Amino acid sequence: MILRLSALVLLLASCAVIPWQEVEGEYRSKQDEYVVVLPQGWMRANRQDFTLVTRDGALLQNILIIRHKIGEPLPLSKKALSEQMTIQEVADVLFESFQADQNVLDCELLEKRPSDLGGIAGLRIDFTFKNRDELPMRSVAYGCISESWLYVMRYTAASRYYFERDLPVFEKAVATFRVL
Amino acid sequence: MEEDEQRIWRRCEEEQQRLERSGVLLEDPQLEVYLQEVVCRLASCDPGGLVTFEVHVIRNPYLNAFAYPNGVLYVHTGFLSTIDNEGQLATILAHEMAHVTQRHAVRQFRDVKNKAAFFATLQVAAGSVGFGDLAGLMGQFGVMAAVTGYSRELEAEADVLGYERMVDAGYDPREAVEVFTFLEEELKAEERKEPFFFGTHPRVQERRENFVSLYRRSETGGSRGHVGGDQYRLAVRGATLDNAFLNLAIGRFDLAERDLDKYIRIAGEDGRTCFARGELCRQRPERCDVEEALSQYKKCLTYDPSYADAYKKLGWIYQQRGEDEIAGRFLADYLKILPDAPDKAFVQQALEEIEKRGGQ
Repeated sequence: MILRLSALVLLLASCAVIPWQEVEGEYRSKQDEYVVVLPQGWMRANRQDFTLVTRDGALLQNILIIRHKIGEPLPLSKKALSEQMTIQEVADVLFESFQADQNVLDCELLEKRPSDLGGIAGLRIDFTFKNRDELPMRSVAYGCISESWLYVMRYTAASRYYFERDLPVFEKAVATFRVL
Repeated sequence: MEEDEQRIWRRCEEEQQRLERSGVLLEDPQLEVYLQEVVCRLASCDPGGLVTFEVHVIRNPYLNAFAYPNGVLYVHTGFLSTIDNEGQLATILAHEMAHVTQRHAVRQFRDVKNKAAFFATLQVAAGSVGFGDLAGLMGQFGVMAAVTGYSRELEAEADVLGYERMVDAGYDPREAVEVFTFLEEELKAEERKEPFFFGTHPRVQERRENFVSLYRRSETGGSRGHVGGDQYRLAVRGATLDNAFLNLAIGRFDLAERDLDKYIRIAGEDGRTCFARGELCRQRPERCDVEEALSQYKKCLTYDPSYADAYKKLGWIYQQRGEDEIAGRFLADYLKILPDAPDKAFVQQALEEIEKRGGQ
């Protein structure tokens, strides 16, 4: 799931059967056990296995929230996170998993630093890449580990115009994230 | 050339330009010259041929090779680092060249009545084997050539013609069969139903038997033909090391180790191989002692004192062991070499913690 964001976005963008619904503030994922205040006026893909919201279309900007079981291999990889890993090791593996997506081209790491997510010590990764349509994109991902789960909240947008415009919206949503 | 074939060629050129701009191609001019020599040797068996072949290498650890209808061939670093010699390489390239000379893409395209639905199916099939992302990059003809393959009949034709071409070029026919050993191993390792190369039909076991049968029919009194092991391994050494790091990044540790061993046998040990060995050790604590990881990182620095990541890894290990003073020295060295490292905040945080503990 982490790796294949782009494929997922394409699926959502092209598939008419997946319903979208307007975000109504606080969103509680019972399955993934977290709560977050999503940006008002954005649209949310109505899925059980991940949370994805967008304002102008998932290919232009989106916020994706997922959780991944510690110990299970990451998609497109045989690597798994372990509870013994330090936060910087988790950040390294997570960034490798982003890079392993063959749709993430010319990937450049801008910053990898410690940060909080939901009040839990975690990480923040900021990187640029080109998507398969050669559109320059930028992504910021927050992550933390809580009780055998990795939680990731990732914002991806077209570098030009959209990224800067909606970054504060994303950061505001990140500040509201809590593991239940 | 008819109009639809001209359109296909134009589409292919666009797809290839996209691949070139994508950064997935390996830049190794010496390797490309070598691959071109092998293709020329194979093409000389067909002096009247109308297609000019060229070969490029894609940085991808999975076993695959494919050809566009205009004669541009691509082979993955995964394949180059797995196979052992030029005879096996010739088997792969000759098979792909047969797809080109027999105009399989055009024939398959013309056979399909509903082309939009056909290509949509290809993309779905590509996604289902975990290749969807690169498939998107390659475009429709690339997907057909690289992932879904051609029909059973067209693949069988490419087998026979490819085999004949490699034998006519003087290569040892036994090496053609050996390629299937690697494909079967890949199947087991990745738990896939079929590998990409040679398409999905007929199944790998059946294809191997076909090649064995071709070999038996063409046996020439035990004369072996060209194998080209040493020259091959020398030519692909850079791709092999590159592939080791690709395998390392996605956690295919045994294959990363195999690639490293192959590289070291040809080119010897250097800073990069020691760093990679250190990484293999650190990431497989169940298989390796942390002391060995430390030793490899330190050896890396004896080869290349500017290898910043080795300082960082040493720093993290010593910090985890509570050896703050040594950890601090290595982490500070890392920032000396890379003062604007993208992960400097992690390192600075560690240094501050070390300093705080030191003051207590």
